[in-house]
Amino acid sequence: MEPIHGDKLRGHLETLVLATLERGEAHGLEILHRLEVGGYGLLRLKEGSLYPALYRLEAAGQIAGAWETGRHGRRGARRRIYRLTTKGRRSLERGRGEWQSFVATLGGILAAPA
Amino acid sequence: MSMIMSDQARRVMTLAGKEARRLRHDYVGTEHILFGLVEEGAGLGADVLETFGVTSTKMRAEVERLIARGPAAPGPRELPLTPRARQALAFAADEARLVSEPLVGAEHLLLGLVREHEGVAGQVLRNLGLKLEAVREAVLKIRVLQMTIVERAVRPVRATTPRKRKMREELLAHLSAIYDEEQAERNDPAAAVRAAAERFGDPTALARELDRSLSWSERVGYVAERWFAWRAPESVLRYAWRLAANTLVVMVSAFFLTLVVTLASVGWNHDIWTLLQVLAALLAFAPPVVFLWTVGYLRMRDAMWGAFGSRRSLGRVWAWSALLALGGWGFAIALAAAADGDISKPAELWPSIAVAGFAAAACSLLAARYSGPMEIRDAIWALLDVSAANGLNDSEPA
Repeated sequence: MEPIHGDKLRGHLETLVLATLERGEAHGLEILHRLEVGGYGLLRLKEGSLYPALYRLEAAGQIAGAWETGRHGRRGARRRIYRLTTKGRRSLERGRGEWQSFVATLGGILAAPA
Repeated sequence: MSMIMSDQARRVMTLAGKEARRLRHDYVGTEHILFGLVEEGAGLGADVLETFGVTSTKMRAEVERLIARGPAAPGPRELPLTPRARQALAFAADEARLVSEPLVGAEHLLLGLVREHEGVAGQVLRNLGLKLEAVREAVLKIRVLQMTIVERAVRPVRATTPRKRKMREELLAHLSAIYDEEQAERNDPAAAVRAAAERFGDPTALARELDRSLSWSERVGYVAERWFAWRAPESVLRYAWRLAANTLVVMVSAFFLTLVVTLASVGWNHDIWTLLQVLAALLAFAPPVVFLWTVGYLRMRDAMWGAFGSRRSLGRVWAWSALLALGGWGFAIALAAAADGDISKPAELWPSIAVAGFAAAACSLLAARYSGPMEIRDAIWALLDVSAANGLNDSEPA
């Protein structure tokens, strides 16, 4: 499949982040990992750009961030772990609904002529 | 001071103990720790030594040349550290803190050994042709490169200092994690930094996105804080002067505001006169006190932590604290005198004045002890040179 460039899907990044957090809490690098595994690797998004999206979601109360407490002897700075809030779950459901109608509507129009 | 070590650093210390036993020494000194670093073979510290051509064979030969084997194998109990080794570990903890690392890693142990240059490790490295400053630069370089990228993304953001501190920490954690991934694959620090920077994205573009992600309360906080926050790279004196001038402005406004409001509502009476005298005293004395307190606090803090060229010196800490206490007394006396029109107050007032002086010094000491390291870290970030002409390749825009 052709790689999709960042611009077209950046608007949906926040919903995608909410979706990855549905599986369980994660820190930035792990969220990117889940996105990549889910096929987002085809999207040429720079890793740093994840963080403004996370901060916007946090400011909107859709995710909650907390510094990790245990270190487990792992070297490197402590990480910030994010989890989905109730508000976030509602937003995710809305986002899914919107996406499905989007696909259904456009799908009908773009379908190859019989 | 946190001495929590990373797994790798712990392995280095275990190897150090083993080497000490092998040489039949009944102590663990800086030379054994250096050996442990080389043997451990991974991580920033050992990488750097390798690039300088220090192998475990060469090292062992050099140490055995300098120190004879001990007479008998030591007992099974854990070997004690020499005072120099303990000092090196303390320096290692310092180095970790200075670059925002909460854990002491192998590279910080190396830096600790480098700083403790009178120990055997220092001698060994010198005999093997290493300039200690060169080692320090090599170890710090990668970390400084990472910090420079992060600072380019965070410095332009118009948020409060605590908010930006969190951003810096989080972004640096991410960047150093992907650096570690790339380094594990390539085993070439320079290429790993470039690859990690490429994955991370253009910091300048990221700065714009970060700025856009701020809430309005954060923006307001930024404007308020900017008025009295330290602006890199201004000197201590200039900062103190600016704070004093701001204080004067605030006091003058308060003076006239109080005058106008009380005259309008209550009219003139003797109490108003007293209030005005106190305010006038504040106006006259607060700016110089703010100036002296700022200078005193910053000098005391730097002496406590050995930052920005100050030697770590408990004596200086006490000296500056005493000056701060004197300042507190002087200010309290001046206010009391202004309230009553003369200094010869009955003895009952002196205890409260003494308390004011001690409180001023005690608060400053506590502030320096608990928020000093954080302030110093903030200043180190703010003093980084993030201009494009410092050896970083700009990656493509996001």
